[in-house]
Amino acid sequence: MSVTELKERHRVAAETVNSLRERLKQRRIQLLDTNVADYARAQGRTPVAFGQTDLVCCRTLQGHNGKVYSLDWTPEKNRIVSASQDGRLIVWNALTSQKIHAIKLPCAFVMTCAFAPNGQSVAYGGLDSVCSIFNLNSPTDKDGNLPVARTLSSHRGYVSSCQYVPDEDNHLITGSGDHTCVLWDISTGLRTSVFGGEFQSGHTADVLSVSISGLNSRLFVSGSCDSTARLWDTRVASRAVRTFHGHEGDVNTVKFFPDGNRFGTGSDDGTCRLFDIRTGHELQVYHQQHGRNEIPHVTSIAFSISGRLLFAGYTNGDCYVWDTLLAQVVLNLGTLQNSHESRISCLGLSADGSALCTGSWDANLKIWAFGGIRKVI
Amino acid sequence: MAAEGGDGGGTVVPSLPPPSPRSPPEYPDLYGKRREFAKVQMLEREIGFLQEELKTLEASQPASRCCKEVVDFSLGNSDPLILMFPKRSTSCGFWKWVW
Repeated sequence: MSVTELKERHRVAAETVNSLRERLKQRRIQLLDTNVADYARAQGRTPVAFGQTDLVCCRTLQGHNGKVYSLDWTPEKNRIVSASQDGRLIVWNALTSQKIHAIKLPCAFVMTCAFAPNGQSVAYGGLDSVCSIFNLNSPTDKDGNLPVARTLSSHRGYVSSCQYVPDEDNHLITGSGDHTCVLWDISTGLRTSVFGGEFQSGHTADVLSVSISGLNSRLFVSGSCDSTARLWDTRVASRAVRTFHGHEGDVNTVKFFPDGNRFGTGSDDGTCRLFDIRTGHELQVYHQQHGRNEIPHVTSIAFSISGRLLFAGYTNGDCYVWDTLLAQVVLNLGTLQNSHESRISCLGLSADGSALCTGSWDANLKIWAFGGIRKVI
Repeated sequence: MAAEGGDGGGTVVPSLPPPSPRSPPEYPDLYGKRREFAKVQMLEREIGFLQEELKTLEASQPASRCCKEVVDFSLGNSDPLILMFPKRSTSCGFWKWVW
């Protein structure tokens, strides 16, 4: 077949793809008979009411000398690992605010960090396109630095995000500026699967965030600068299970809803959204009105353990607590006493769901917990 | 460059033609062709996926069913950040350690 014939075949195929996408869109609109907030209101649900002292900052973790970029709670015990512009990872005891480890990184340009399920290792990635593992029990070298236990290298772009597969200390998923996600076998240091890439059905721009389902650890979602989120099955690397459209800007953060059947997103377009993984429906948009040219980007999100609350950090220092069901902001941690003085860059919930940790460009981390008594709603 | 004439030697050495760089022979553009073919294959595969998705969507449940599941899940699970005890002051989890 000649190049001309191939080009014609390409044109016809592209037209068919566009037509099918339009049909999908129309069919999806037909199925969107309501959203979560309208449904909950129709059921007579009222928003969660928070007093100014119900959710309070009970700890400030001070120790970084630069912007905090990422944090992760250990699944057991109350430890947190944070990554900062100062080129260090710090492992904190969240109960006492004490630093357990301060790890100087070989490459200071860190973007993400994660705790292993067993709490014995931490992973970090950044602009050097490598994801490195530290064993927290390793002896330090003569300079007092913790040695890198394993280096995972093959990404051709920065490593923007990493998460250990739940209950599997030897497997980790990374997202990268090279448009792909990779599942790694840490014991061998080799890639198990690559999700996306030039000739695969994957993201067409940098991947910024990944989240693995707590219910089915074979499923994960990724958010990207191509304004989409994609659902992947680790057994089928060749293509995304589903692509979720709707955002009008980079999808900076993705997080599974606690039931494992939905996930949330946060974007440069200033909105958070809730998507259903089985149907692909966009169930809700969480959007607060702002003036023109003042739309703060969503940098990070987390759900409370019941899914009723959606915490969202913004570039302007706000940290909204959304009532997931009513799509209303019920509290702004950014306006409370002892709140951060700069952009909220990362946040995460403790494993038992009783505390929220926020990280900020003000170089601090803060722990928030419930401090009031609530009546049955 | 050839030297012009001698000192009346009579023989004229014809000057060599100036260098004329030739274009390399035209090879078939296999790389471009293969790339174009791969692009077509990718699109045709995408058509298959979209047709499959359309089929799945035809039998898909409406959004209200998913919304019901979200509401039921959120209201059916306790949440330490939204304590729902009537009047008794109760602490749990992280909270009991820090206050």
